[in-house]
Amino acid sequence: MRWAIGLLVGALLAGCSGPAAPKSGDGAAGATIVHGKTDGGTTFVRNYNVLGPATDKAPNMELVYEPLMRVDYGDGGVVKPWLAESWQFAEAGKLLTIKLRTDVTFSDGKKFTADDAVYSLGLPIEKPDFSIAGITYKSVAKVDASTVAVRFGEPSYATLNQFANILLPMVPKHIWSTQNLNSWTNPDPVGTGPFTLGEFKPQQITLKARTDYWGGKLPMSTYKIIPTSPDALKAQLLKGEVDWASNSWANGEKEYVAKDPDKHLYQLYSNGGAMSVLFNTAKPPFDDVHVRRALAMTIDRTAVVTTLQRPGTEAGPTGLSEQLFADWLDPAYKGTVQKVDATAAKAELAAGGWTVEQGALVKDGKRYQPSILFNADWGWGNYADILINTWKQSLGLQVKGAGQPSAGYYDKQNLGQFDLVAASTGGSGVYGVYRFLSSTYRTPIGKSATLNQGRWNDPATDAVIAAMQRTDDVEQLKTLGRQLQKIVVDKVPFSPIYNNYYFVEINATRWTGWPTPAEFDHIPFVGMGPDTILTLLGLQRRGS
Amino acid sequence: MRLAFLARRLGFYLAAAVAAIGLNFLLPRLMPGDPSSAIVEELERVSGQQVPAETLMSIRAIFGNPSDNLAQQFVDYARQLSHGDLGVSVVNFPVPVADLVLQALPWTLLLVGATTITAFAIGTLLGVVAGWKAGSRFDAILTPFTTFLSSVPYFWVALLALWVFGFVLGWTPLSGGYDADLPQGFSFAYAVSVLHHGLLPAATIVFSAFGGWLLGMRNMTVTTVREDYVLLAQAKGLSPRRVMFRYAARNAMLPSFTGFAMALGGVVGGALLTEIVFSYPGIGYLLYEALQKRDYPMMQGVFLLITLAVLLANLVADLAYVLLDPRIRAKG
Repeated sequence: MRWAIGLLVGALLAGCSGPAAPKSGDGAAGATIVHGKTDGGTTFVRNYNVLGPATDKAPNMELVYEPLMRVDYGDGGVVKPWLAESWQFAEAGKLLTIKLRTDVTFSDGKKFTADDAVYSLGLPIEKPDFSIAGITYKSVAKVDASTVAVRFGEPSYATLNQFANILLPMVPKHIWSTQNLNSWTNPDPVGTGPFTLGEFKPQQITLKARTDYWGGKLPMSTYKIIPTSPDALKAQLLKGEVDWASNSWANGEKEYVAKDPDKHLYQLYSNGGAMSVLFNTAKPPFDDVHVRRALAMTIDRTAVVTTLQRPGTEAGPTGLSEQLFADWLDPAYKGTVQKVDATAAKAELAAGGWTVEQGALVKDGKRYQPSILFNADWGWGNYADILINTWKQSLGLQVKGAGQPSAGYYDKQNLGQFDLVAASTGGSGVYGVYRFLSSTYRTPIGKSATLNQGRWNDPATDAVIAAMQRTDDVEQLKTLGRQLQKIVVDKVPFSPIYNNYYFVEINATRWTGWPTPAEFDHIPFVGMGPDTILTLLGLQRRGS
Repeated sequence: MRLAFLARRLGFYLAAAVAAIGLNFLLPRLMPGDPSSAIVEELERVSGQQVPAETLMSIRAIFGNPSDNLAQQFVDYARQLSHGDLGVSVVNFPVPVADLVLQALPWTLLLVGATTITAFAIGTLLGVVAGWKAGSRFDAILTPFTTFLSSVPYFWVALLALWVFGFVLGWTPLSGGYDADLPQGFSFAYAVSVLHHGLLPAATIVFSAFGGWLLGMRNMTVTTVREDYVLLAQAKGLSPRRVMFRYAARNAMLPSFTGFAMALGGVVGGALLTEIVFSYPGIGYLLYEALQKRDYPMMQGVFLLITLAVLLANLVADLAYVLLDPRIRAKG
């Protein structure tokens, strides 16, 4: 189905001559920016119960409700202020005092105060089923009208980014505390963000810009969200019906940018994560570092990114992208992409006492024929084939492909029912990327784990992760981060293949002033919370 | 006699409904995966980060743990249903499933209902004409052509239509059920936009569906025209049109009529592919999404609706048959 649509649209885009003129007749309503949303189905549901556990809430709530902090992806994933002005850790990282901005109001005119922050942060504690953001603090208390104190059970410098999670936004206590949150859909949201809900239709949402937003004056009066499909979106962008979208476009350079390089922008921003092969280190043969190394050495990363049509996006051996972690990356690993090295890989196998016989790994008379699990819904079959072929050619090892739709894929992955699995790794900051390797997240095979699905169990790793949690000293964090990088490269709990990206499509016919991947202090990705707001604040109408 | 027949049929349909509810409960639970992990997966996709274990536990707290006792789950489910409560959608918590279904249902009823009736009318009419003079030029061209049409996959037709009329020519919108810039309501402009958006999906459904009706009707007509009572009618000198419709077609239509009743029941289920290709906001799409995201309550709500609609349509067809075909009564 999907492929068929893709094929057709691909064909029609290739044959399409030049972009159509943008929709005219906008007139006075020209101060509108249109966002084409591709991952929300055909209709929207009016559900602004933003802290509830729904995954399909009304879109772009981050323009209405804001978090206390933001993650600066332009700067190694460091946490920066947003509704919080500043903060300070005390008691060895167990007490966090947050100072709030004093110039923030909700869209109903009421001031945003410590009471609202205490209520919002306290809700997940009071109602664990509303703890969708996965908080780690134990209690919240008001210090004064603009200060709150958050208590942790353990030193928690490293988990500051939970306050930057858009799933943990500040909501007005005076409205929320009077509602039954298990049945309230919050149809008319009131938040601190730059927009209020104008008109809600299942097929189009219009947000209205506030004139009293603390962050400044927005250049547009309305923000329109329309549901669309990834394939229809391409046509809409070419026609200029959509200004801004977030979707990958495999051949975007040729099909989109080339038609009008000034106005058709297709941008990739590293999200700090990578697509990696996770080894199931809880069972043979992947409990042996030699086997892991040998397989990591014989992954043809370049062939994979070529097939993806994203040249130059091979992941380095640490899994940290250079676009994001330039200052954090150990210089020894900068600019390195592992090349296929069959000789070294065979030497590794020999060093571990392994032989390959009839396509299987053999040691002490036991044969292992591994399989690689991947998500078939992501169309990952092609890339799995590349891996499988390279392993066969360089090692003679016959790995079986085990594609699963999302449902089975996540289950098998979480239960540890795999040998190798192609999975996303990543997070914000170096700690965020690697923390899943902590043995505290490890469960026996057959018992579900949402982190550490590879069942990595290494005291050295645990020690560094624990040390990172106990400090907010940047230099020390960098040193610890490099120790973790070395562990990942040497012991290979997982092997990164290619970097993952935020994909941004822009038709800059009506709005200019967009960040570029070469120069950005925030990512113009819709849905990134404060970053989305920063992008909107920085735009200008073309010709004005 | 007739009452006994009715009671038997009603009993059958009641049993079928109960069985349907049971299956409806069981099937999604036999599928791989559970809603909690579906939510986690979705959250990971949205946030681009791995979700902590604490979150999964809190999600399980709301939507139930799939490892709970199945019997207990069924009791809960039946109790809920008896209150007319279809439950709360998992992915849209806390929006009730009934609200979502009610939002999508009119679009599907309108689109699929109208096209089912149109396709049936066109197909049946042409079928009678083709079958009445089997072997005529009309029949010789139309029938093979229709056979060809019936064998073309529907989604291919829909995609091609979308490409040609929606993208290349720009005559019809690319997606949606109405022009969202217009105020919703019973205005002329709004009605026009609904028709405009529905045109292409409707046309593709009729285009792909009428052939089936035509072939069935043609073949039945071919058989019927050789019956003695048709010959007798002709011999009596009745007008050919009268013979064709009142004598031949009326009897030839019986099997088609059953099919039609069942198709009407299926209307509620929507035209899944149509709604996906044209991003049409109906029940089909709702079901598609529910399946993808393992939204058990939503799946069950939609399945239940579809099953009951089909059962109801069959019941109506059964009853209408009693009126249409005297032989049923005699045998009953």
